[in-house]
Amino acid sequence: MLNQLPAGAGFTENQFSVAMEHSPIGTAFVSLEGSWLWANAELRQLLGYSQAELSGMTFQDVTHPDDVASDERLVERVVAGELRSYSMEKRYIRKDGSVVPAQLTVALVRDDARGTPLYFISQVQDNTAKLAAGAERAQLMERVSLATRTAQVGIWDWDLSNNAITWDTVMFELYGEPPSTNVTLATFEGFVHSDDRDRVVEELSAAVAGALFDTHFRINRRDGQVRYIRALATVMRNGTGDQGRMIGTNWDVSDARRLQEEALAASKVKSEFLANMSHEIRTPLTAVLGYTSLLADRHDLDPKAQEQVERVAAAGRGLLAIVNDVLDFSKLEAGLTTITPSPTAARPLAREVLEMFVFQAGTKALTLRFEAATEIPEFVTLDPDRLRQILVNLVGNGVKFTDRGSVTVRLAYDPASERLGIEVADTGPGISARAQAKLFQRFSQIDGSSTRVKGGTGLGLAICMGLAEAMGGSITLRSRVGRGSIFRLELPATIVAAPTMRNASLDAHTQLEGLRVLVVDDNATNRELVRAILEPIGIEVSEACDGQAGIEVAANLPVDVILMDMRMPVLDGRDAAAAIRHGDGPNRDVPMLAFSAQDDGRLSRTNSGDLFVGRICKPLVPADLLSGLSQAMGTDDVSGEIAVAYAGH
Amino acid sequence: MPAIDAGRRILVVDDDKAVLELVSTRLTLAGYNVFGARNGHEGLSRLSSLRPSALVLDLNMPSLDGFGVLQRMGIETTARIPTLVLTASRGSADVQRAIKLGARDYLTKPFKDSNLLLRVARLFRRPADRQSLEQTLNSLDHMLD
Repeated sequence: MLNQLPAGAGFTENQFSVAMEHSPIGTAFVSLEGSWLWANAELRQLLGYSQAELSGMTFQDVTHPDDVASDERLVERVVAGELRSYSMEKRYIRKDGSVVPAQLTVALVRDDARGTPLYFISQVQDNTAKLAAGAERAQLMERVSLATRTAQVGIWDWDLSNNAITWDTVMFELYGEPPSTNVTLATFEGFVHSDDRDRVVEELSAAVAGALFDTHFRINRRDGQVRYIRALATVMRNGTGDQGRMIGTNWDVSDARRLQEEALAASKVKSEFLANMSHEIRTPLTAVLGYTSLLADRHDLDPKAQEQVERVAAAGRGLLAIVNDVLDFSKLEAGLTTITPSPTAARPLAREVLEMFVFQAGTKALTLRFEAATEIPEFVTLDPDRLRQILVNLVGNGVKFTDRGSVTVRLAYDPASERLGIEVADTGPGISARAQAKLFQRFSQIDGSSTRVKGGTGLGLAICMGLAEAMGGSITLRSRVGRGSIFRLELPATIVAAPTMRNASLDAHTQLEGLRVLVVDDNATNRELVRAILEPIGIEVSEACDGQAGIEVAANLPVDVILMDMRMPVLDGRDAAAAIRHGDGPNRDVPMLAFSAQDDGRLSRTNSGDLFVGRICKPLVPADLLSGLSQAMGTDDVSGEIAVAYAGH
Repeated sequence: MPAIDAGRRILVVDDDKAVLELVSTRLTLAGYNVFGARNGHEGLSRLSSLRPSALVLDLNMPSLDGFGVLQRMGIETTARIPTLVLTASRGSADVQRAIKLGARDYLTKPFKDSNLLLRVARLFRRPADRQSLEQTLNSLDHMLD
């Protein structure tokens, strides 16, 4: 709108001069000789002179000596007609002697008719703030540069228009190149390890398009070294919004990487060891648990014998829990612990644990008490094995360290917070405050002497704490010397309906009769156990004592299911299964079940899913075996019809 | 031949009349469409004309025994018609030999009804390969030479 107005139209001369006077930009009229004709309020303030004082001065008078020459040269060129106007950064000297950095723009006003120079219009802007910002930025840059150099972080600058790359000294050091090297995108890509190159190129393209560049790769230096490099970058857009440059960082993470790989390898070794130990220990335990379980199922025992068998079975389970103790501790150390909640009958479980110690308590005339403070729901969602493990430890400690009086297990359930509380209270010697602090640390019993007297690894409480926490709960202790101790376990536990698994075994019996099962296991006891479980219900059991024998038997004898132990010498379960599955024997399509310990990581979906239809955990529980077999048979379409290949006949 | 229940057509081959009758009755009651043959030669002949979906074959027969029948059937036919062999003893040598000749499964005499039904049902478990009718007919015809 304004540029359409003829000069002065709508605005009076007075309004113009008022506007000029009060403009926030320093403005002045300067004669051709350089003297100040008029200066506005802003400029007068900037220079620190009054109008009257200025009118007797020239611009050179208030210009920094070092800037006078260049200013005058520019004036000459404007007067000569070379330039219409000029702009420069210069310094003015104020009246008080201080220096003011400024941006000066000068235009020459000529006579309209003949173009005769009349006077200059000067516009002056105070650059103090700008320079200060500039100086601050420079200082910041220096600090950043120092920081990156100290941290050995290289900075690179990639010009996207021509793929030229600028490296700072650290970059050259990282890549092992002299600073004189000319670096382009191609040069950089040449350094990247061939396995990583495609990925990095892709990531760079994505970054140019706007994605975050945050990656790592290996480089091959000219001196042969391979380094792991971490890189971050960001795209800098130019004024028009196009990508102009990408600036980024590189830093060497080779050491960290190496440490990580070593740690992983060490961890792997540990896991392997744990898995091996687990297998060695669980194998005989399988026999104990399996056979006592079968005994417990028998109906021809008198009640007393039944009870005794129950105790043995419970003790067997307790023993298993202790074995798991040691392994769990190692796992907790390695951070590999899993919690598997399922519908659990907490009250009978707690009672069962208490009853495990009847004999031991009897030798010391200790009373064992069981109390339920509130209504305990029949089933809650908890990991029963972990719960048992913790309780065995707490009750066991109570019985171990209490010589007279009682050990009480008290249950309570708070429906509002859905938390189960189990207290194990004893009338033992109590634990001092200082000793309490030590108690929950690993490998410490209160004093070494009691270890020799009472025995124990000292791992128990630390594991209990770790497990309780892993289950989302806690263990706390209230104790006073001479007054006994109360260990309180609190766990989140939601009420749940009774599990229906009990009935499954009955149905399985009828469906499985007449079935033929081949069990391949290098452990004779395991094979016997399988036979002892399956033959009574009319299943024909064939055996093979290792993978090779398993393949041979499977090649000659058709069966309905193959039970394959995973860990066998010479030829292991997986290889034997593969040989049978991919061979052309009569059992190539037969469902196979894998036997393995729970923490045996070998059987994973990715590497054995095509071979096995399921897994049965060791130590072997009859119900698991039967339901596993039922499931395996269910995956078979026994009633499958052959399509009518003879249609029309 | 009626096309109904072609998918559950079974041929039972046994020289023992009693066994033949027992097995046929049992399987018929279970819903299969059962045909019988009294000896090996008759068995081969009826295989060709009936084209059953499964075969129950006694191993111990005079003249042409079960092994002979399997041999004459050949690999292609035994693959196409799953065969359950009946063996008198628990001798695994017989079973092994029968398996090598292409039998799918076995049953030891005397056997329980439930086991018979289980074994026959499992015969149908594996779908036969679908070769052309032509080829199957051709291979069956060659057997009778």
